[in-house]
Amino acid sequence: MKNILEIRDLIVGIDSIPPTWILREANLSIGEGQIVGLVGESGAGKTMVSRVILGFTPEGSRVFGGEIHFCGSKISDLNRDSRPFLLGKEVTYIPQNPMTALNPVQRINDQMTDVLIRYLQLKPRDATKRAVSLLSEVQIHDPEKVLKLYPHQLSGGMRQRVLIAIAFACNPSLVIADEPTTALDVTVQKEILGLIKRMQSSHGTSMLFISHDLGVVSKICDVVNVMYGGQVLETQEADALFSAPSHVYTKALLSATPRYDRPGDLLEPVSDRLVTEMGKTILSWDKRAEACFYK
Amino acid sequence: MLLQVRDLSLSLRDTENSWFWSRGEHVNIFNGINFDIDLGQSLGIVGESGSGKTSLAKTITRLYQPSRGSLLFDGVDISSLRENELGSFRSKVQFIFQDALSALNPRQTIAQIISNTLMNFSIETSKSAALTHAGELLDRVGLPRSYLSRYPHQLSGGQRQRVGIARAIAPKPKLIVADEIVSGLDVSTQAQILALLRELREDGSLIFISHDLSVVRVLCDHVLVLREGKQEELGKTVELFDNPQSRYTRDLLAAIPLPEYDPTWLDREVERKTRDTEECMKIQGAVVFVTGSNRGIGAAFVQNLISRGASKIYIAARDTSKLQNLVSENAGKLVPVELDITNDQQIARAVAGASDVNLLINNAGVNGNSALISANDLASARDELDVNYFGTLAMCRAFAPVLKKNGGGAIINILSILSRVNLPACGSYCVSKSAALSMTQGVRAELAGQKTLVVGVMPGAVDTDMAKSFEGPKENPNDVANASLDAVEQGTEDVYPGGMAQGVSQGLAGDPKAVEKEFAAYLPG
Repeated sequence: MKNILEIRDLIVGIDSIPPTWILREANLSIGEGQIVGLVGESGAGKTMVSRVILGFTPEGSRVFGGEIHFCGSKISDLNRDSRPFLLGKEVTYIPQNPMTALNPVQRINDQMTDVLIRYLQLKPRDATKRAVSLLSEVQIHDPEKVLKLYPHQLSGGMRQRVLIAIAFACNPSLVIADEPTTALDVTVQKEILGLIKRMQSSHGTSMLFISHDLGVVSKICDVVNVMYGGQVLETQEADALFSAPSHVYTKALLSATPRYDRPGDLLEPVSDRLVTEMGKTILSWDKRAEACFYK
Repeated sequence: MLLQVRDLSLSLRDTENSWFWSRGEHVNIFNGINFDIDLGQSLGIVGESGSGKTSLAKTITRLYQPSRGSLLFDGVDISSLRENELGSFRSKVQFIFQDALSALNPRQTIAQIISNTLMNFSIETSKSAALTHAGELLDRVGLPRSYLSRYPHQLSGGQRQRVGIARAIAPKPKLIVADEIVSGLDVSTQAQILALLRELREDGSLIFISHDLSVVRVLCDHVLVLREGKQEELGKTVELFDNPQSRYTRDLLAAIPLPEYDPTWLDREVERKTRDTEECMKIQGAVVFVTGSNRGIGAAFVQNLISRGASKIYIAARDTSKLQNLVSENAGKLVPVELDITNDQQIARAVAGASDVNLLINNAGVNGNSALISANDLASARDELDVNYFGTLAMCRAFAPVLKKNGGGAIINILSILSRVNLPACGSYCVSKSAALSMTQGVRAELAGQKTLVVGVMPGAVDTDMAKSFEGPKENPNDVANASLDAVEQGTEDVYPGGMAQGVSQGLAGDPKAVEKEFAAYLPG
């Protein structure tokens, strides 16, 4: 299988003296047409991975080492301004919080047609037509009416549908979904997950799916990466990972997840011993990196 | 009883749809809520967003005044007390908010936040004593005392939630109301907070609001399910999870993604949605005809139908003498019918005497456990096809007009997971069941017009006489009967009861050839 995206030994840190490391030689690849999951606790560096792919590294941080290849060409050297052709067209983003991701003072129509006019060079009228068909594709009834509304007039689930429609508008090669269902309740979450999966397979898009919820990841991803401390600890096909996790940390995460079908199980938080142990590995990596990048 | 809630209702003014000079219409938020909490008990309140969970919590804690009903706390009706009369109630009930960042004053240190609560409720009178007490509370929730001098924004989400808990337990309340306090946390932090709440639960009662039933199961001993402001279901956690009474509860459970690989999970919801609108049949009051009812799955069906309140059950078997005991135990409800489903005259007689049937259960079947080539002759293969395919088809044909006359009803055909793939050890049985599956699909299509639901049940090995020689894991026949009747009530067409059947069905959805090869390996000799 051809890889759409490959991240090799990516090192990102905040450029202080000594640097604060965020990604410590992270490796990740996404095959064509795959949904690849990235799970981990908060602070593991999940969102940073997506930011680096998009070129939106936060101020003060930079890429120290490693490479990102997108569709065969190296993009890690390009800065944000020199790859606008990618963002919004080839690589798009479904954000976590549908409440804040849409512009509150613009109608849905303007926000949807914006990308269509900019990247597909459609005329405004055609763009609106395309927006209508996109909205019906994400199962919004009465799309003409919704286009005239402002974001605050839509429910959370509806807004997430609009954002999904925007993400798939230009038939991107890669969609990055960062916790797209965390703000939704379980029943809406299930609908949205089903929708994302359908859109992904009908558009033949590859996808990076970021979440801290192992349950969600198990249902939608083909391959799952488990992340901690800026490193990818385990990469496996979803069925293998959930039936036989190999890394102790993955096992710990699974036993910390509550399950309604297993009342007898006491939940175990990731143990302090494991955290200290992994902390040591990270510390020794940091020392090596400091010696390397900061002399 | 610590808290008694009776017929509690709340309506608020609709500010969204009112002009600034009018006061807006009243909108019902929730209606007719009833429950009790004893000291030391914990109640989970679950429901979708917009179901009224948070409003209910705020009414119980008297942040809202209920518009109807009574709230007895410690024997005192607090539902209409004024704010200045609520003083002692306020210290006995504490609220932990979902969003800890906005619930903690950003301009106060943790020390100030907690000691203010202690001083307000006059638990401590001097500042220094309050400070020491605040330190002890931080110990209790597992935060280092050095955090006293920090501000809320300097803490992580989990730590802030711990501060919220510390503040809530400060006045030693009898009841803590926690509103979605773990929903924004990742699993390990969530597990820590849940463990802490379990510990604290021993000191008082807890109302825990969540949309996640998995979390509720860990923490609560009773559950209240809310739907659009109405009390959908209330019960002990164990019972509610093992046997949810309401369809809505089952849907909520089905919507929770368990961390297991399950490629068909996402598609299942779509099926449910399309059926939502249809009226489904109820077993209670149904008139049922069960073939092969003297043993195995058939006998389990009869028991299950009785306990679900079917009004009349025709129990058919080739030899009815064994059914006499059962009939006399359930006088008036059970009607024995002598029936060999390969005998057309007997079928005709049975139909004539059972014109009130609205559910037909085709359970009778035979298995000669013989292979296709190495069998001595074709006797077994012919016999199986005669009973499992022709017999079942004859029954469907005979009862179709009866079902039509009685408003559609349903047919359950007991097939086998072996209808989907051949197990060569009993090759000819699989052939007959495969024919029966195809027949089930055809009958389903032909009878769709008269609104008859046709259910195909495909269990794995079931613990009955038929599978005596099989040594692997077997399903309980009761579970098969239960799943089949659930399917009728929910309008599900294909049922795969048990782990084995589901496993094979998923395997077939992935790589049918691999399943076939695996089954071929079980060939004896």
